[in-house]
Amino acid sequence: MERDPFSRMKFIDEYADPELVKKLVHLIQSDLEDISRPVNLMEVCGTHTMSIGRSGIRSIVPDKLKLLSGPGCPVCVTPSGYISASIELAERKEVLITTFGDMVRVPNSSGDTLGRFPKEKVRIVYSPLEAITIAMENPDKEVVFLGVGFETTAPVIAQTIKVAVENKLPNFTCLSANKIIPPALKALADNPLSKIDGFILPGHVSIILGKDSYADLGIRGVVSGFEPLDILTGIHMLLRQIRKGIVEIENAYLRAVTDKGNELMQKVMDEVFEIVDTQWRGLGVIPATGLGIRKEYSDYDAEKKFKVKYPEENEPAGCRCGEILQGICIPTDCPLFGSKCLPDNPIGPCMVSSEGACSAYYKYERN
Amino acid sequence: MKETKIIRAHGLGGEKTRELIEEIIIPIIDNPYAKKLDDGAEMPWDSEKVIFTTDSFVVSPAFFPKGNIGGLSVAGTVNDIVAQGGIPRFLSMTFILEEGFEISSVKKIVRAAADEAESAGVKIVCGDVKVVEKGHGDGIYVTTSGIGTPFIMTDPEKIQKEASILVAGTVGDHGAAIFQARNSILEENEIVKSDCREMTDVLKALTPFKDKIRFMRDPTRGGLAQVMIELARLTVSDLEIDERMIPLKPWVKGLTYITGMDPLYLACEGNMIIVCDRDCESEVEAALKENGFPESSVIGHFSGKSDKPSAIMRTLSGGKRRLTSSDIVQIPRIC
Repeated sequence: MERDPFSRMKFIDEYADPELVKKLVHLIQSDLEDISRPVNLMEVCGTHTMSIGRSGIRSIVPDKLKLLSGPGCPVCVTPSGYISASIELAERKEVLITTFGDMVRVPNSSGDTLGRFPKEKVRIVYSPLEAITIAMENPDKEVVFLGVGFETTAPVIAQTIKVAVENKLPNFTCLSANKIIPPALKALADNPLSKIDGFILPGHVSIILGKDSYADLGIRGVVSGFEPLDILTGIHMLLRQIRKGIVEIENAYLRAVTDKGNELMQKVMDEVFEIVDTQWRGLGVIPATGLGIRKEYSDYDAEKKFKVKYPEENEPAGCRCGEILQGICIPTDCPLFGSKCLPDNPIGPCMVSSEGACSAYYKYERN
Repeated sequence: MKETKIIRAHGLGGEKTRELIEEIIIPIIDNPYAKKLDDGAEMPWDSEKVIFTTDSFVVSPAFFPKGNIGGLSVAGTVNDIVAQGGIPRFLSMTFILEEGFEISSVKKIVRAAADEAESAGVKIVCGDVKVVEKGHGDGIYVTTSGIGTPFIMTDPEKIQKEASILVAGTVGDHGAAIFQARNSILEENEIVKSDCREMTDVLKALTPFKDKIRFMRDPTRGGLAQVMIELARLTVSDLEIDERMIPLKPWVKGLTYITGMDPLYLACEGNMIIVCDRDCESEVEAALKENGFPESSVIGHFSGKSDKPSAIMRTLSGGKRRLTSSDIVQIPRIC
């Protein structure tokens, strides 16, 4: 027999077991019978959005339950002005941009992307640490890493900056657009237009932050994993809270998420970053949701080194991404969806990355 | 011949071109038609009708796990003829080479093409070589055209309600192998390979059921999903496939799962989607299994005419998902 390294990989089929799925759907049905109105739950992680679409969860839960996709795709919520500023940096002769791959496709509000630069100029990396190697190999260039992401990527980016410090690298900087999730959830819940009854909380982010980090927000949420059974368990627990009038944070992802999270990573993040106000594409400025690079590390802050200014840019007319990200409407309500706004020609931010709400809808929920 | 790399003169039609063709390519291809080195080939023919097809190959990289562009270019065109229900007979083969490309690589590519042709029982009878300046190509591009004799008369209009949909092998192997070749996600291992192979044995397996085979297609670009969507449209019917019945190699399942790709949309280069009447589905599956396609599987059925033809997949968890055309490039230049 050939040895296939994946032949022992478990838990793809197991966490989609149709018999267990049926049992959970049955529980969800009886939960909903006890609630006299439609229920809106929001997932705030792009991986949840994709998983719900891919496994067809919407087709097996009652219509009374609406699953809304929140601002869980970091690429999508990175403001257009940040893209423009990155493009401007890339125009500089001495600068090499290093970035996660999906940023290259994202257009600013006038349709320009980093993708138009040659591969040598804008380099795709899988880990920010690769940017350090690139900086070492190119001492005559200024290597700028585009720091985009939530708590899942922020600690690694923070650690990368620390490695640059240890190596006294003079030609590495980071342009931080990193964001944090919990206060953004509170802002969404507090919006008077919001119809959100509860949050399916992001599994990966919660591995870093721990369940307790949501405790003081006063929101209803269940931390969930990413397989169909994980998500359905999260939904069932949220419905139980709604049925009983409880507002609390629970954890349905016990095999990965603890109460306190990964404290080592939290510490690294806190050492390098400080909380700032930041703009979310489609949502505007949300106070205290951004991660700026601390003064002590300002030599590694591209914003300071290159005196970066982020232009104010408006989203294109007709685009409803702002409302979609807040759960006020769904992608198919937008007049541009699937007609003018398409995955290979995205107009709004939710269509730009494969994990964006509109992109996931286009792939899995289009009629 | 003293050069080790392709030079411009190899494409000028003079002595160097002759050397490349006569000393490098023809000895490997080795059949009397090709050896004549004429502008065209004259072959015997014994059938009233002919199936004719052509395809170009630009895969990057040209060498991928357990295969290269040479074998692919023969298998690709042979499989297109097989999918038409034809027995492939003769091929032409044209190379566009970039200045600087290694001649040793040309040899390996022609060798793979010759081996695949022998396996399929076809002869490469004519061809051409052109050379482009450095920077104007990606090493090598290949075009093959082929003719074959009609054997199984497929007709999608005769697809009935409840007709069965089969695949002859695991799904997405080629696309996943190309992805691995470019990105080295997995540690180097012997398991990752393209499924690239000629599929003439499918005809052998299907011979007893000749009158009940309604449609065949090799799921290359766009993968299984794209063929399902086109089948629904073509027949103006709904169809439903079951994710649990779709055979996947464990490494393809794992690699696509951790990278977020969808194996249903990845290319296969040694696979065939077959639609047959429902009453013979288990016999067809068994015949495929006996003839070298052990992973063959009935993956779904047609469910009748529809105003809004849809290809639906029942997912692992029992949910339903409509398959939609993907305009998003998962992996560029796979064939």
